[in-house]
Amino acid sequence: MTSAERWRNYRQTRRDARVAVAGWLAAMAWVLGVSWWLGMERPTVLWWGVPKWAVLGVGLPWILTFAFNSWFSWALIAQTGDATPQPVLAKRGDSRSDA
Amino acid sequence: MPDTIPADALLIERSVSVVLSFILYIVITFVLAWLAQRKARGQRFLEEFFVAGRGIGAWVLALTWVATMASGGTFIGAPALAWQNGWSTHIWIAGFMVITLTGMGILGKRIAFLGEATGAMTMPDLIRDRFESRGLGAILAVITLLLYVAYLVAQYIAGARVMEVALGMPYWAGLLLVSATVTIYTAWGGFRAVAWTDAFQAIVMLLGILLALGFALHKAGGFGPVAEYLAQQSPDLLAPTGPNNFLPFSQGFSFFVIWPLAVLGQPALMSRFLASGDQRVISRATLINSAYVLLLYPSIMTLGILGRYLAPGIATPDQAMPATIIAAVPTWLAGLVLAAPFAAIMSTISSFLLVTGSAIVRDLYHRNLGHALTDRKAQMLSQGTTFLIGAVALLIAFRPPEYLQYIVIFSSTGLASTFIAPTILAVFWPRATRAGAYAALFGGFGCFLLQYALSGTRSWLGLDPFIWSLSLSFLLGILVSLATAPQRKELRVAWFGEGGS
Repeated sequence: MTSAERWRNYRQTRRDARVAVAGWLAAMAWVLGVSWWLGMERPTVLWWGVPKWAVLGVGLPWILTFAFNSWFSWALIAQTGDATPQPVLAKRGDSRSDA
Repeated sequence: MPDTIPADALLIERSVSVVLSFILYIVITFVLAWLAQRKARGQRFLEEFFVAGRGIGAWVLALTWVATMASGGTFIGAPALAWQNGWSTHIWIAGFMVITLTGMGILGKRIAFLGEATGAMTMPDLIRDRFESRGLGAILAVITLLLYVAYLVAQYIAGARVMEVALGMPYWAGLLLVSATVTIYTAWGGFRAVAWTDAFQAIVMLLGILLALGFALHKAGGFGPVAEYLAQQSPDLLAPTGPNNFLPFSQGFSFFVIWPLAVLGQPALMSRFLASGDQRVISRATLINSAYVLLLYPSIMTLGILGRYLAPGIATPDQAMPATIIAAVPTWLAGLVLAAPFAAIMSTISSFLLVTGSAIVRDLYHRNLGHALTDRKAQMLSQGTTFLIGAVALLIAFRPPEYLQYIVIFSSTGLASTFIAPTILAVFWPRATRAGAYAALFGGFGCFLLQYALSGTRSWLGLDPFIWSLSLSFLLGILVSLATAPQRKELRVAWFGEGGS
């Protein structure tokens, strides 16, 4: 694997990581915001025996996050040219060097 | 309302079907371990024992990852919290909705790539080579060892609790059964056996929980009667904060940070990426995992809530899950469903035994002390340390603390405080230096211990100590790296390519 390929792989995985972090922060904002906002209602409003805040604040984002995860996974699978790498390190600083 | 008889009293009549199910479960586990061990014959021992020759596929990777993550805390401690605190625990666990995204999306592909490229078998291996520092590798190995032994103790306790309720066994006998079973197949078959049995156990876990949830909902007559019952006991059981201010906003925020990030700091989870060897495997495993997590975690918390209605007379909250299963599931099926928490516990123990074993044999003995290892010697040492660590955790578990989940949180957040920043800086930032990695490591771990000692689980602004420890760890890692000379250019190019120079 060439140095350019390693650089491309590094940049690709860094981009993937940024997407993952963005998804995480969006989910957190939804869950905490909606749950506490709706959870202030007294007495607690129930939908089919489940608190409304739990349905909209937790249940719904679970479903949406699953959809986002699925899209993210397909996007990762669709990436090509970054499969099994060849060993790149010299003897020094390589786990094989003193094995 | 239905049965108010303590669930453990119901158990004794049902024990024959439960015992048969457990025996069948353990037999299948050993058969899988035997098959894995056969496949491993003739391979180089260390690479086979610790990373299964880097040949793990997507399904096995996804299932072993989630089975390692789902522990006794997940199946015993979390339902116990739901039993006590009602619907608020759905926010407490909500961070798991992004756990696949963060756990696999941030580090998975990168670690798989670097593991194959550098030959690293453990996370300390990877960090040691990135910074060319034996000291860093040794310190990470020792911290892994200490915190994972604490985590193992929690798993042993959880396993014995399941045995107490499921088979009516004394606590000490349950402990011995759990530890003997899992230690033997781990030492015998190494990573491949652990991964294969984990995959089987993950299927048992999901099947068991979904069946239990269906039967519990049927028995309770839906959510309506449960909500009425909870409201009579305390309206706070239906509120986002829970009773006794269980989950103020600051704690809700903390746990949404803790769960998704804690998986990044678990050597047992990250080492699974080293075993995959192909980044496409990680991508497929991400898809499988996201479906699995969606089905499993909300079901577990809901089962705990239903348990308050179906099994209110339990002696300790940690019995909530098995007692609910016993109260709701038909006799002939109870054994299979009760095997779910047992499977979660065994899969976590086996993975942690392997990682602690690798910390001693691979990281400390082989790479730090520089002893040569023949295949025969590596096998003797690896199997010996597996038994030794299992025995140490067993001895500690004979005097169990009250709440499992807090031990699990302490160990997992402690590891995460220590590992996350050095790992992310190592694999994503070419400018990170050895001194920066040391600063991140000591800053994170030291700050975590100090906060726990001074203020317990709620630190400054009511946040979990993990949040401040992680922030300090990153800050120190970045500042110290910038203040010190970069690692040599050849190393940066080897890890990051041409732009890394």
